[in-house]
Amino acid sequence: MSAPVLEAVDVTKHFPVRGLLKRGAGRVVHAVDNVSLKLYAGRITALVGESGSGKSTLARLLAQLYPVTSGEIRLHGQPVRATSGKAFRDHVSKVQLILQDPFASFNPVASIASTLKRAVSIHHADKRGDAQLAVIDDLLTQTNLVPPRQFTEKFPHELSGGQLQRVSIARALAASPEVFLADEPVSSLDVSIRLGILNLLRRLTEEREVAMLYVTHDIASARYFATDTAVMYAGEIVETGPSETVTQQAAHPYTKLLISSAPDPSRVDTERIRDIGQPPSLITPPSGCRFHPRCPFALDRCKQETPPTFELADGHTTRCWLYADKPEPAASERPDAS
Amino acid sequence: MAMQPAVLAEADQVEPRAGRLWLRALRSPLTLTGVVITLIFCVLAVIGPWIAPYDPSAVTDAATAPPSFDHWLGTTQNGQDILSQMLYGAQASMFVGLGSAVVTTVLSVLVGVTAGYLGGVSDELLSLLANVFLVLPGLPLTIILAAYLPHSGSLGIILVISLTGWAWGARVLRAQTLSLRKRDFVEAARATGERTSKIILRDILPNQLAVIAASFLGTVTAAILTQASLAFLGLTDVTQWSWGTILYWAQADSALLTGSWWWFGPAGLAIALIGTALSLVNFGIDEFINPRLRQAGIATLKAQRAQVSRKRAGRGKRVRRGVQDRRLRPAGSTDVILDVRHLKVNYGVVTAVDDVSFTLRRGEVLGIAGESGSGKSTLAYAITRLHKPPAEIPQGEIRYTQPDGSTVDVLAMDSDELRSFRWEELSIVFQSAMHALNPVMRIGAQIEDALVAHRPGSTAPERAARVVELLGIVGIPADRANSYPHELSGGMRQRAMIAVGLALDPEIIVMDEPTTALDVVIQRQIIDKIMELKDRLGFSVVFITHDLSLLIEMSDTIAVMYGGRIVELAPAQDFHERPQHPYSRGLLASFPTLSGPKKELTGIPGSPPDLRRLPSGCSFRPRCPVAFDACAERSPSLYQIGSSSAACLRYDEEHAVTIGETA
Repeated sequence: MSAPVLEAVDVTKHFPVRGLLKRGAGRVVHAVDNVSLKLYAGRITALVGESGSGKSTLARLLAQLYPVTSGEIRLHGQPVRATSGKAFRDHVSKVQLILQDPFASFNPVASIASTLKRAVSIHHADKRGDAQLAVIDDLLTQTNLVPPRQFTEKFPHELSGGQLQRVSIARALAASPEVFLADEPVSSLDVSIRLGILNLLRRLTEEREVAMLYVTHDIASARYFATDTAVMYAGEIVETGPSETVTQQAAHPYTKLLISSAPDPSRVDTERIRDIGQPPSLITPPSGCRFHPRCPFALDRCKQETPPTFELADGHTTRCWLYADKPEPAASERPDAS
Repeated sequence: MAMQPAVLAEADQVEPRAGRLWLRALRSPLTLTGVVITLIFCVLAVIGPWIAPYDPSAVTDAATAPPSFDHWLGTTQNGQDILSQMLYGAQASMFVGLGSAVVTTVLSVLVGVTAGYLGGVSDELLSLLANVFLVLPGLPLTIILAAYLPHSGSLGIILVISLTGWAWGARVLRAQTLSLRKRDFVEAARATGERTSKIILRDILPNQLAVIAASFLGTVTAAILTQASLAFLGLTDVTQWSWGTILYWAQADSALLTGSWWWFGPAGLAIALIGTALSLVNFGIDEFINPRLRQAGIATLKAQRAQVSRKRAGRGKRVRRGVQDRRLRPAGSTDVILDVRHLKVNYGVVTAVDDVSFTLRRGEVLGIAGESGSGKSTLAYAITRLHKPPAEIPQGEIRYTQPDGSTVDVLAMDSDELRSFRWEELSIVFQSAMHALNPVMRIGAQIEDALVAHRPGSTAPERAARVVELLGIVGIPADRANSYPHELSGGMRQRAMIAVGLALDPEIIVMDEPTTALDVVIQRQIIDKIMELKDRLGFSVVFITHDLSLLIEMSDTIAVMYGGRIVELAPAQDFHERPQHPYSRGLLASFPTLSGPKKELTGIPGSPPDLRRLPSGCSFRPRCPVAFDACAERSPSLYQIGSSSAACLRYDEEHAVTIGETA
């Protein structure tokens, strides 16, 4: 495999807790802890997790919207630490973020044309007047908003969610980025138009050879849309691997819980992972494995020691003590493998 | 790509051009009046000294003369022409008004936006500064400063007014900037690589224009008033003509005692008039700045609609009672608990729910699926009669069968009957538990509230026991009864909502997207709980969501809504295996599956329809892969196909041939 375009190496992000009367002094929210993730050109990587798992924070760290607490973000192997100024603008010209809620991610008092013009004038500074308009038309055409002139004069509230998300993508395309970080790009859209947006993102990834991070809470969509999937829980990545392997032969108990909780009418077996409890506090995360208070298979060891990453097979890894001595998940724990 | 036709179809709306916006804002007669009066005052202020017929200070023989042809506004005790004084005075008053407003606004914007956007130490320092200025006693300070600067003329007064006035605006703008800074579009602009200065200029400030303009106009009025007051009190240079100076001399020379109304009248009137005009402009500004409100006075249209619907609702009710019961089939089986027939809900001219019929049986889970704008939430509100104007029900029936077998008409209930029907017979659980729960009441107290209202005979210990029981039923630890909603997790809050819904043992629970905001794992817990409770307590559920997979798993019957109509009604299993309507097929082919081999996802081209512009005939036609000519002409009713029914013309006998071709 070629070298990754964008990479997070042992990245940690702690947010200080603000409280009345210094109650929160010194305490931090462990939003992302010791996470490594690689994004490759022409490849979609899904980052799956529940709200509060740190997946959106990780996307923003990769976009350099926040500084990392420790660890490194590497672009083409070069460490970047640029959250402001020219270095930041250089970084975002290569790494573009697409946000979840298309209705909120546009300035409500600016027309689509003026929003796109700003992005174009940043990334195509040499283009003026008609040349600039031509770029805008081209961006809208690439995102299937045709004819472009019927969209440019509109205001955000006059477009549907799907159309606005396409404009978001057009805005990100203006930078001709090498990496797209799509933070839940379809979660707030209607079911029947999600597929269109995902297919558009996939087409752009393939045609432009960009690396795509697809942040989602919907693990089923990761199976269909992403080549690789990483599962996050409480600020840590607990499982990574090819999407089909992660969804069909899930190793980590949390991934299994996630899969068995997702609604799926096609599911044959009705046996479910027993869930005991709630997501943990990230201010005082549980010791050892952060999933151990909810895990039906927890061992004594899980409470004390943080599990390292175990390589199971062909790029399939998990951080779970159950695999300390085993190369493969036990057959009894993956009923659909047969 | 298949996406194109629908995108095109949706795009051909007539839109306002930027250039015509001013005209649009001016179309409101009140705004127009305000603008015209303000402009007249501005023009007079500029040209006043040139058009004044006399020197305002020139003394003549015509002392204290009432208005005449020579002196339109009469004269003062010294025979000075009041019209000329007014015209000269306009210049001074308007200059002070506009000048103070400009300086004050610039100061407020600079301090407020800088503090709000930069945050941190600069925010704390600037906020401290603003707070100090805010607690300075404005009026005494103004008087003292004015007394020290009587000969600096208007500039001194502008300085005084600005210094005492900027802090309030700065505070408001700082708070607004803080909230705008967190908005997605600001983050999106940052992520695009935009410079901070540009983000402030193009994202933050334009969204604050309404506040900035309001504070600007407010300051103009306040400054004119302050200047007039200071001049009236003699704290300014009384030889410089302003409206306040005119009042000062009028008072000094006992104009009131001599009844010389023309002396003080014009100045007072001018001040009142400019104040009113600026207020009128202020009202119009929001409409001009906010593109959402620009579309030709939405507010007034809405008000008109609300009135019409209220009238019609009144009439409709009387007619409905007279109409004969024309049910398609008699409610033969007694286990039908809710029978909805031909229900229609309008929002003014827009029909949100059209000709919807379904029955709900005891213990049944009816799943209503639909995308945004499909009418599914409107339907939920209509069957609970919680719809608010402008929504109205012009036709249809909702019949509820009580446990004793008697049937009541929900739409004919008066407010007392409705109150006992809701919660006791039918309860509703909303999507956002955070909004539906009262944030300042403990969870236990909110559950108890329902008991107090509906079980007036119950004693406090009985109610407390019931609260603990209910919390236990939904799986909330009893000690959490004393928690406030914000202290609970999203899943716990939703459970609390369900506990409130269960408090009075209802027969039906309507759930409008109760788990949409929750994570899948929590959603699973809640759904399992609902199903377990349903089996145990035997109520019926109307479950509304856009998540078809979830619905198929938990429902007995599924109703799919599209464009305000039910397009397919079928047992869940049949629906999953043999969807009949092309929209249902498209929906099922849009969902990625987790188990089994990967299937091909085809999706549905285009986007859901806008209820205001529904296509003719079948509203799914523009997105339908199997549409034919007749679909544009006729709106299909539900056709029976085995155990399912689907609203698709392909199942009409007339088009049986077409079915053969496409099937």
